[in-house]
Amino acid sequence: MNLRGEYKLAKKDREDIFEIRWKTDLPYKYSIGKLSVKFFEVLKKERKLLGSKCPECGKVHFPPRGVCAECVVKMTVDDMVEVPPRGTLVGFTVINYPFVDPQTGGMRPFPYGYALFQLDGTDTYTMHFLDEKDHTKMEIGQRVEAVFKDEMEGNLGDIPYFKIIKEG
Amino acid sequence: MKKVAICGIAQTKYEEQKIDLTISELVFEVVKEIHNKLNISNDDIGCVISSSNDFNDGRTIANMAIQDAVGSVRKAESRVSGDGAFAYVYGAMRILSGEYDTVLIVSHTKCSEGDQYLINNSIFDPFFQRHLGLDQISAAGLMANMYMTKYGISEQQAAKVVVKNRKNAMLNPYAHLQQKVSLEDVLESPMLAFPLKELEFPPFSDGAVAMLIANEEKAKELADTPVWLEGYGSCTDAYYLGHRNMSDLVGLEGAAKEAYKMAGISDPVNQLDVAEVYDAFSTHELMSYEALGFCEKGQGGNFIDTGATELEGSIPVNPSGGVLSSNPTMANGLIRVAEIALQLMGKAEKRQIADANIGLANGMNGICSQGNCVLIFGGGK
Repeated sequence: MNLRGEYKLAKKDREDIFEIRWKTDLPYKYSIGKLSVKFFEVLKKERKLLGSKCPECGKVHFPPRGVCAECVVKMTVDDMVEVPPRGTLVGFTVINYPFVDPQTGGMRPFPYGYALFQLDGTDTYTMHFLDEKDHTKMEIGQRVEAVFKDEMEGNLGDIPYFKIIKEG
Repeated sequence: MKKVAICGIAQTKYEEQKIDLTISELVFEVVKEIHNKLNISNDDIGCVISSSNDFNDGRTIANMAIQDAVGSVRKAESRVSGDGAFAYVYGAMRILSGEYDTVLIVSHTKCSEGDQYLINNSIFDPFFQRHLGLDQISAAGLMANMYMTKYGISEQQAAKVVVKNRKNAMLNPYAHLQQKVSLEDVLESPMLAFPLKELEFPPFSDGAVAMLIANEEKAKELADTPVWLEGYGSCTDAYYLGHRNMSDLVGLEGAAKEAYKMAGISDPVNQLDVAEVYDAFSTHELMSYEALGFCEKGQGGNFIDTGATELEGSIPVNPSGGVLSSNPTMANGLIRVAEIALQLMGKAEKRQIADANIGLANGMNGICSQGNCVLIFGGGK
């Protein structure tokens, strides 16, 4: 047992366990909403990012949201505005444990950098992978930019990660 | 306000894997112990409030699967799908309605039955966040980085939370992790999500907790040392992490303000004798000190340095060992309430805080203190 109480040998591998296994998928078809549909369509066709701007307070939400939590006001596709693919790092971490990618079911290689940042002209933070995995090279306030895939598919994977950039 | 009393408490030992027990059998252990301790039968229980989570239990409306164990077949039962502290609140409201003299409150989780990383990942938005592997650990890494950078909190100060809580857990027979760790053990444990290391996170535990609450009249029959509800507040922050101030626990602060107002607390460190907070990771406890007004904003690190939150300090925090020592997720808030009740009853044995009369318990739903519940209790000794 390690200091966090985890046994090295998983108990499921023990021979004296009575076990019944079954394999059932429990699929969902989530409605993604009109704003997100437009977001992914524009991302795929025009390689551009859209946020949603609250008609009352003017705050720009990224990714686009259907309701402004500050004003409790509805935002529609007419409230969507383009935002630049660049922003400023506000927080980061480096993930150093395995993670099952819920989209593929496969294991994602680690370590990898993970960042919270504010895209220019937006009023919320958003998060994504970062191309840096050495925390000593990461700093709050650094500039970051989205990297787009060559072949766009219209999902979040079209932006595999953000990279740290130097400006000016 | 009418009075609500905690009359009896039962907990299982929290463990890595209670492989011999179904969730119903697990829950029955604590329900039966409540009957035995208070010398009552199921007929003496007015209604039941439970707390659990369908993803953790691996079935929908999972409270339906424990109706036998909680004794609510042909009786009123309802559930909070979330943290057990909110189940306490629901139960207290049933007493305050005047309709019930007694309410049994139960919360359980068997973390060993599901993949805790995937279950936590499923909290998040499936379009923009889930594929990024966001879970309780990566979100904590982001929060810790932002908090520590903003206020200059050191890794040693964060690690002290773990050393303190794990030391306290050695005195709590119910605690899961009963192995003392040193500052070096914490600092040298593998980095899991920078700046947080493996030992700065809780284990995953199986376990259940139950309590019987009653109105004033019934409490006098049932308990020598009932523990009274003095204040309650709750406050929820934004769902999306990017819509929150990630370097302060704004939601917890809001909940504390409401609870303090109701209980007449203006100087928490001097008025409270003991606190149990939801320490989901090391720096989370330091942030909680600030949100609960134990110290100024940004002073959580300096506050633990003073020793104030040790068992013998001015405001002992997590004498039970906290979530960092036992983590049956949905039960965590009710376990905080249970420990405060034991302290105020004078039944906390080796970890008893001397002359504990007023205590605070804090429950949490979601990631990084999204949904917060603060409860203030007074002892009846």
